[in-house]
Amino acid sequence: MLKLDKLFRSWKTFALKDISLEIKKAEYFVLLGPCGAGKTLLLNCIAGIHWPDSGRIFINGQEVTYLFPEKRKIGYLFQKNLLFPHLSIKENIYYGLKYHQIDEDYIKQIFKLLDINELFLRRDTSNLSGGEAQKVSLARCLVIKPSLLLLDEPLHSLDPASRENVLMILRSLNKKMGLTLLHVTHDLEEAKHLADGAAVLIDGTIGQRGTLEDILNHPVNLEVRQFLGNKYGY
Amino acid sequence: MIYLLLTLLILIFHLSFFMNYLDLGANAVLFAANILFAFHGFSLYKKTTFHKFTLYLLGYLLLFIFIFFLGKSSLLFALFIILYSGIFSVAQLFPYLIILIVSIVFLTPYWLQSFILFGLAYASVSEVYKKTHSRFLALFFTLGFIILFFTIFPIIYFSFQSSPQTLLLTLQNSEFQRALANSLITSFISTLVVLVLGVPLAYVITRVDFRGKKIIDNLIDLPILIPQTVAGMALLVLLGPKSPLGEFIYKNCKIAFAGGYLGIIAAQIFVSSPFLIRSAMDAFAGVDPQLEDASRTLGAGSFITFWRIALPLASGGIFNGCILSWARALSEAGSLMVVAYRPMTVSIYIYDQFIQYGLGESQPAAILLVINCLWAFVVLRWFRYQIAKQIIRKGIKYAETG
Repeated sequence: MLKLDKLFRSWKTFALKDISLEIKKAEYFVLLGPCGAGKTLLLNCIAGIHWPDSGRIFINGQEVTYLFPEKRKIGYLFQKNLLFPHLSIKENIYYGLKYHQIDEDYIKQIFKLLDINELFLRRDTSNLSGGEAQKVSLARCLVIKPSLLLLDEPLHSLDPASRENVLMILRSLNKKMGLTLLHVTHDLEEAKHLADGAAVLIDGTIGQRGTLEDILNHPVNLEVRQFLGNKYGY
Repeated sequence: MIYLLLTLLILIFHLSFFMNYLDLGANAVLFAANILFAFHGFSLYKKTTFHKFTLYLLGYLLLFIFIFFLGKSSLLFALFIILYSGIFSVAQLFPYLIILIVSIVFLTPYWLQSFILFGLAYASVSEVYKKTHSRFLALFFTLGFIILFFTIFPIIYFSFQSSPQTLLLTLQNSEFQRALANSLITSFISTLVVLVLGVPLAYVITRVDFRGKKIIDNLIDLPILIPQTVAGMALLVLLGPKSPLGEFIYKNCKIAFAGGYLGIIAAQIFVSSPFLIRSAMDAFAGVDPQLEDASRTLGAGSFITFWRIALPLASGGIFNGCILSWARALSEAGSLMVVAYRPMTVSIYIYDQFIQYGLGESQPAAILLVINCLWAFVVLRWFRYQIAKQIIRKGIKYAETG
């Protein structure tokens, strides 16, 4: 589904080095890593916001390395919810539909899954709660029917109730609708709830790749062990 | 009983002392004022601290010295004493009384204007102090008000110098009308040109880091640094009738820059462009670039993203820049004197009148220009506010870009 082949990308003083990774179709993949490990930069490269210095990116077997972000049809949920403040909730959600032909049934299905129909009655994006705003931005990425969904710490700033709600939605997106997800986080508990496959990114390189269980029980080196902390690493 | 005694004392004092200096009427008014002062002071003495009471007496003494003794105006003194004793205990109004007294005594010819301005200054400063309880901020604000005073006072004073009849007569003068129309049309066109060319430049400079960006960034301000007459000369050397480029354009398009509308517009663009470009840059810098990234991942190309996200969110600041740029173009005179003295714009017209007939003749036209500009400024600001309200709905942080 998604294949990264020896990706290099430098950004100011930091660099992603030799990233090779493969994610299968309909897999829930969690990319773990401490802050500043380059997780967001990697997502930006996959989404096309940055182009890699070298290396190649394939989606469904097609090379997309130097394609503009608008041509890739990848859903990207940013760390901030980034709703367009000058547009209404409805305009926000329908923003991408101007550029993609999507059938009504699919859109209805998404709305039902996210349970956001009553949010349309409200106009402003500014008075949405954290969880609601997250759901609206999620809906905004999903209505364009992306082949891959990138999530940058999606549960990061949510209260426990909406966290659970969003968690459930993410899981059913993967299990019921067969969507491939790449979820970036530094929260191991979150990962345990969701991950099929996982990898640890440390200081711009892949530290370990495998199932989550594998990583938790058998960290391959000291850096991974340090990242996992006392509970798992030692 | 004690009040009666007090009254009697003051009466005796007045009869024996003031009768020599004042006529009967003034003496009577002053007598009434003194009674009021004494009665109020008496009740104050019973209610408040000794400290405050001494201040009360000191105020009287100061008024006496400055207005009665030095200013030799007994009626004004009586009026102030009445106001003084009435307002002394009202903490909110008392400072205004002091401002009024100071304005009348020390700034006699401009007392009304200075009272309005100082009153406003005091009101704003005390408001700042009330909000923050910081003497430092209040002091800073006061310092700031001095520079505002320096710019506003001459304009306000100036605007009251011609009678409405004179203004009306000037307004009906066809030469003035033509000059005003010239100014409005040319400044509108030049602002439009700067808008169409400057906004893309501002967008690229704020969004992209490229080599040489700092240099371009500094070059934008160049027209502000250069004296206007020099700017005019530079344009004339480049586009004038004897220059190769000017000659070429004249030959092929039959358009003369110097001494024509195109020259006016060129000069206005030259001097006004930095204002719009700077405002637009600030406005774009206030728009989170990640919003644009989000738009692009949703399928919108870079131009559509600019059109649907960056431009609407920056529109408030850009419109503000348009107003500034337009105002600058409208008020331009220095470079126009060199490039295109005729057809006359209104600023040149005023200068022309001043040179030919002096201050008195040019004044009404100048006042009309000021009034016109202020009026347009207020209307445009209001319009900008409405636009901002429509495009950027209530309660959204991004609205604070302009």
